[in-house]
Amino acid sequence: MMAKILLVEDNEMNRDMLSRRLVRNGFEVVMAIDGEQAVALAQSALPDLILMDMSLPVIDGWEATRRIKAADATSNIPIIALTAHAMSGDREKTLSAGCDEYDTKPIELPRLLGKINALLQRSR
Amino acid sequence: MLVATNLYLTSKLAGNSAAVAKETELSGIIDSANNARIAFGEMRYWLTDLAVSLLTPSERNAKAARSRMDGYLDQLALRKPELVAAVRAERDEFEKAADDAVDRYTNNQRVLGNSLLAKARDHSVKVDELLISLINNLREELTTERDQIVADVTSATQRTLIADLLIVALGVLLTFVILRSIAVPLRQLVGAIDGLSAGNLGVPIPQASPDEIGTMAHTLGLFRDSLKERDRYAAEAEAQRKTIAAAIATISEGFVLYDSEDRIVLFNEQFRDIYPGLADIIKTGTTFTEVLEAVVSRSLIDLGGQSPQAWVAERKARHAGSGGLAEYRYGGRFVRISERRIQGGGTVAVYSDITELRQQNLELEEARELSEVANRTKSQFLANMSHELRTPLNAIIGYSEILQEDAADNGQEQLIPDLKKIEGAGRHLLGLINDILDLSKVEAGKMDVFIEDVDISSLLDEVKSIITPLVAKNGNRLELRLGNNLGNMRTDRTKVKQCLLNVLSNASKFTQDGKLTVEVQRLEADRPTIQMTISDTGIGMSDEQLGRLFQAFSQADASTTKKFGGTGLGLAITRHFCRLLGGDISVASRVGEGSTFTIVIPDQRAEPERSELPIDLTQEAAPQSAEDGKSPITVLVVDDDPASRDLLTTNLRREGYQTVQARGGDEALELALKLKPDAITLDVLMPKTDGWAVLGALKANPELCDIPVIMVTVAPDRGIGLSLGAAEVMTKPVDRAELMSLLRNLLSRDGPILLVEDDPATRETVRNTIGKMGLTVAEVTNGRLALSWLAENPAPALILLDLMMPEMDGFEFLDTFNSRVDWRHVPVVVITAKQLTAAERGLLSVRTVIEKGDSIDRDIAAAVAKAVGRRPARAGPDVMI
Repeated sequence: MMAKILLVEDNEMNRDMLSRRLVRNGFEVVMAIDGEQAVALAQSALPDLILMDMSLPVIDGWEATRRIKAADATSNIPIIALTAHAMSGDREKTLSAGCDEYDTKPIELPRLLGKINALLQRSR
Repeated sequence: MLVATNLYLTSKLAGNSAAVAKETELSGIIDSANNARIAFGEMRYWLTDLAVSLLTPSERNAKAARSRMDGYLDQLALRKPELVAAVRAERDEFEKAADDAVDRYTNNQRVLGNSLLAKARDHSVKVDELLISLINNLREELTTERDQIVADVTSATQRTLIADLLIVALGVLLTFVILRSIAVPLRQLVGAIDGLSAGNLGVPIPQASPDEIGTMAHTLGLFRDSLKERDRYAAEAEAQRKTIAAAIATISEGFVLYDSEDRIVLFNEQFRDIYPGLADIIKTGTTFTEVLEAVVSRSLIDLGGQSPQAWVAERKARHAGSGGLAEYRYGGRFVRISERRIQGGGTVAVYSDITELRQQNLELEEARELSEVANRTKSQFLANMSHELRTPLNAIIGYSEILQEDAADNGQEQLIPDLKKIEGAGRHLLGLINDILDLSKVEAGKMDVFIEDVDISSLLDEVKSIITPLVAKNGNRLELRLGNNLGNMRTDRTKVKQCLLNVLSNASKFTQDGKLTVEVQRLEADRPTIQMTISDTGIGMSDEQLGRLFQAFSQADASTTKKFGGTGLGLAITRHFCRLLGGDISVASRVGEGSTFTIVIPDQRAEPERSELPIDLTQEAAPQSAEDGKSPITVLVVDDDPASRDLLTTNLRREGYQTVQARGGDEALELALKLKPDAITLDVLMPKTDGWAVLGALKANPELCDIPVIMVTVAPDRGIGLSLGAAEVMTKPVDRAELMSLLRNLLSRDGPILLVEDDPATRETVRNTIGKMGLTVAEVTNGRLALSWLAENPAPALILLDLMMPEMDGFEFLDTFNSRVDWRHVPVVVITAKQLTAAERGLLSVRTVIEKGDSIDRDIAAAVAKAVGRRPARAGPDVMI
């Protein structure tokens, strides 16, 4: 069964690139363009994993993560935070916000795929 | 002598009696002469009569008269023989003529008789004349004789008198000589005393002779010497006073010295210049109060809205307490007054005109704000730019990757090298942008450091996996040599990683078919340190190249950029990062022999916290000690007097407080910064930096301003103390019970934590976090409710304050809160989702600010732990922005 990934990203090109590459690597991809949509889609689509950009409109990635983790239905979905250029403490911050993993943009696809697969295996 | 004189006088008087006898004899002779004349008159009468009468009795009488006359003449002849002979000759002539005349008359020869008689008359006249002349002659002799006697007597008497006078004079002289030996020294003594009384110390004092007068002179000499000494001291004192006056005249500040009764003793002209309207008042002897009253009554000062009475009262209180520094406005000028009590109870006040300083400060402040604004704008611009630049770059990199994959899938491999070039150029550009952003952040001081536990070997594994492709590209090998017991360290993982990557990518670039070695070991020097040595077998560098190696935008050689690529920022950033983490990087290299970079980074886990401090830990277990999870309460005791310090220390220890002593203001500030004590007792009167100055510095420091400070003073200036931010002002000697009760109130850590927050979700997060620490939370939903809660409950251990709330927001709450002295010691941590503006940050001034959203629970845990004196499990920075 194909794993379903919720990709939350407001930048259209980033969303396009990453989604195409994920599909190419055998994932089903659903997409949200802001935090609010992400929370809603997490509830309705119940993805196997969420890739969450942290700087998002409406509600940001931190808050969306908190809400998803706070809701029983979605609390077990692993979330990988994606942040721009690695900043000191980013990893700690995202993990403490409830994210399960963390990666930086620009995406190194092999590295990201490794993290995705590790989390999917763990949650099965 | 007198006898001799009298004898002389007697002899002289005896001689005189002989002269008197002689005079008597002479008188008898004169009588005889007169008698002779009388007898001649009778004779002449009788002879004339005879000539007329021719009678015999007449002839007889004439004869008798002649005989008497001869008798007298005989006597006279003894004395004047010549004259007597002349008289006799003339008388004989007269007698002869008269006899002849008688004869003629007798013969009746009348005519002849008459002529003879006339002839006789002529002779008688001659006799008379001779006799008269004789008498006169004798009388003259008598007179002469008398005069001689008188002269003799007079001269004898005079001589006697002179002799007597001489005698008296001699007596007087003798008396004088004898008296002189007593009176002169006495008179000199009296003169000397008079002179000394009149202040003439140069007056001669008689030589000390070995008698009573000598003793007196000696004593007087001592007295004079002591007067001279006194005058010398007075002159010295005057010279000193003049020196001091000259010295204070040269200082640019106004200077005035009040004595213990608060009267002006000394001042300089600059002090007068401070108060141009007070020249008549400012003079020696004027009291401080008089000066103050004149200042107020003449409206020389800006009372800052206070009533004159209140202002005077406050000013006096400050003066009495020697209240350190104060600033006032006189007309358009600002004056800073520094007052100090001096030994002996006087007060020294120094008045500095700080108008220009204030103006400069204002200008500086404006300039600083401007530059801050500019700097923020720059940072914002860079952040925006980097974001804006990175987004399209990500697309370029991402799509070139996708195209490569598509090309591979579709059998268009010939496109792949070009697509890789596009991707490579994009990544290079991204690297540049990231480096520039890093550097600008470091240089603007905006680079945050995030200290965490770092597993050193896993960090190195990650670095190795990232750098291996680059190392392999130039045919190099990479070798890791890890020392034993590296374990974990506390540092900023991302920055250390970036440093290693920077140095390794450099080494890779400048080494061809060689070897890169990374050696890591833990050094246990005075502070635990991790040392990482990265050596290569590359082209190496000359000394000149080494010199500018770590400068931004400077590679070892401008041409290397072309050949090897890179921004020239990597090593500059690396050095900045190493230093940010408390370490450094160094390099050793020789041309053609490769380079060795050495990075040392301290392990901040083992950072000594209090070990270097002069804490005496010998006391019994403190009540708030480790068993209930709290650290002991530390009180910093600041007093320059060792006895006061020891007394307070002993009392505090007995109550279980841990104490640290500071001997002066500067030391106190230093220790407060190092130690962050829970409370401070602060003596007011200290040399150099006094208590008020320390209090000011404490309250101005964001890290220290929440520490409650108890001022300990001899003067009752509680109002000033509280208004300057003291938690309480206690009067020496400090009442032990009062101090302990005060400390218990101030340091009450059992109180709940007051959470002021309208958002239920945040409240829940905070409640959970604090609950896990075993503490209670009181929750209110806006500022007004928070104020009511504070009014009804004992002070909380900490207030967690949201800013954006309905009804009364956080800023408004803080306005009221800050004005309450009794709440001053309660720390406030601001939690906000809001991006604070500079102005808002200013309003919060020194509060700890926690930003909502990210690691709020951890930050709150740290803030709470700090406030209640429990060690946080993992210490984070105080301010998270």
